[in-house]
Amino acid sequence: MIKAKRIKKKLTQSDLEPGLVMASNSKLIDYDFSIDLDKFLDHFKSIKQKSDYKPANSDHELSKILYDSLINSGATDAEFYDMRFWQWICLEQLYEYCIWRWNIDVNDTKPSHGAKVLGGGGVGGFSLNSISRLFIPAKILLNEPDGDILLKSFFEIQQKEQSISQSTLALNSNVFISIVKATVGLDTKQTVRALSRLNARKIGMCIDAMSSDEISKLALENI
Amino acid sequence: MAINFSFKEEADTGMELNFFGPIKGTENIGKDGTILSFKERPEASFDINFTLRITKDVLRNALPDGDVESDSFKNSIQMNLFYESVASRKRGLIKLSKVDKSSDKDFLIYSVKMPVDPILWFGDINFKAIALRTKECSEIDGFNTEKHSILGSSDEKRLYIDPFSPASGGQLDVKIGEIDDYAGVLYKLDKENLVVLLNNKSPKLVQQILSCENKSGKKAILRDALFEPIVIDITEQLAREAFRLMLANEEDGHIVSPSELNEPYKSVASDIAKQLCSDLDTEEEMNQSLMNMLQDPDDRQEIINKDLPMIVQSLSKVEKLYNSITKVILENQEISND
Repeated sequence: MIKAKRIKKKLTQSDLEPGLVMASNSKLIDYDFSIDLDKFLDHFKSIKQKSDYKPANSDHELSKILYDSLINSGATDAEFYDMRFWQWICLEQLYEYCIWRWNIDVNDTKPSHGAKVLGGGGVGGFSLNSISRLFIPAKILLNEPDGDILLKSFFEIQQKEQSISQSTLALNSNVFISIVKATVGLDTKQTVRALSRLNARKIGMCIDAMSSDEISKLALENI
Repeated sequence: MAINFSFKEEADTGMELNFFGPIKGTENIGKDGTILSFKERPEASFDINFTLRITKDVLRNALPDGDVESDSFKNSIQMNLFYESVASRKRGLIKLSKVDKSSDKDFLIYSVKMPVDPILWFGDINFKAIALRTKECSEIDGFNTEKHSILGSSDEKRLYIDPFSPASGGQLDVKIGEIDDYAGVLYKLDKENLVVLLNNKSPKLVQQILSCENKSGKKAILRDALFEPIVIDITEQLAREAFRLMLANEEDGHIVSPSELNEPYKSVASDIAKQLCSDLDTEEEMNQSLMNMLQDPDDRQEIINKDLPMIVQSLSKVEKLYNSITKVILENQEISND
């Protein structure tokens, strides 16, 4: 068990030292709960040893393991939606996983790599942070009756995950669930079309007021 | 001297949403109570009370029968408070209730109370009221008759839970300083410090004119006219940087919205979105449209190479200032010819 912490002040790219390392003067705040990431780390070590394993294939399983570890830890929504908590986990606890997941060369990092440990400030901010992107979909979807199928579908195609996470509509958890339901079984092209259709219609229509079936119907019309 | 980037006001939509009553610990940082910010991040839960005033005439124009007093209106149109907080990853609707005693022949009044537990909220929350059709009605040309159609919306209000901290204040300072990059350079945008540097090696007379503090008179007119092409170029440089920031995570398919950028990039990108997409109704739609265009390599090239040089001129006062300086020069010429 590890005593949970968060970064005191949300970090930006300029707070990172070369190699995506947190600056040594960054301050941390203790929480009054602990987290157990052993199962996550064990699973990560086992798949990391497989030479032909694609990191993206681990998302669904690691998402469920992370969810189980954190949901009963005493952490609440106040931490789950606080990027400073996820920055601490990425930089202090699961740094090696973050580097492996995106095949980052720590001696040659690109500007976009910072977001993998810091997250972003915008709509897709939580989907850019390597760990919150695993946890938040699980937290929203695994409460549904067919949650595991939905979570698997969400992570099946990276483009699907990106398209859904980066739509402002997905900020509404009910709409997020409905979109994932609507896109089960769709390929990349169909998913992108479905999302484009919803994004285009949100200007004159209130998608937030729609039922899951109505969202599905609207998304899948003529795709 | 400063280069200003204006924050434009939205047109009156006939739906006016307001914070009702004070929210303890906040200060007004926007015009007319549009934006509130906590001075310190709140610890205790609080309520936000809203009132919505709708001009009946405006709403009548959005309804096929125009009757805002009918039962069909009451049963099929609902007023909602829409809220969105990107940093908190929250978005949703809360139904507004009609306040019969305050409504009159010209206006409908609605209100709602939204409880907020600050431990669950970060950054800012944006609010707007929307008039929503909750039941379909027979299709009539020119009217939104589909269920869930948005018939109208108010301007946005914003509440910063985390205290608002202005970045560069929407303007860039201009200073005289050293520019070593190339010979014969007059000015440079220092992106790190967000300052426009005027080369201290440029001719003294040019420095004197460009840095003169006069508010009116020939010198001021000459300064403004000479300076405006610099403003145009700096705006274009800021726009290119704003686009770069918007596309920083493009490989993940993530395009950053102008509204998520810091100043002055936020204002510059938003202004460009408004110019490019003036046919769209809301700032959100314009920003989204710019994001879509930048994501497409062909559209992006067209914006940068064709539209941008025109838009930055359109945003400037170059035409007006050149007119003023031309008049001054011609008047002086006539005097000397006499």
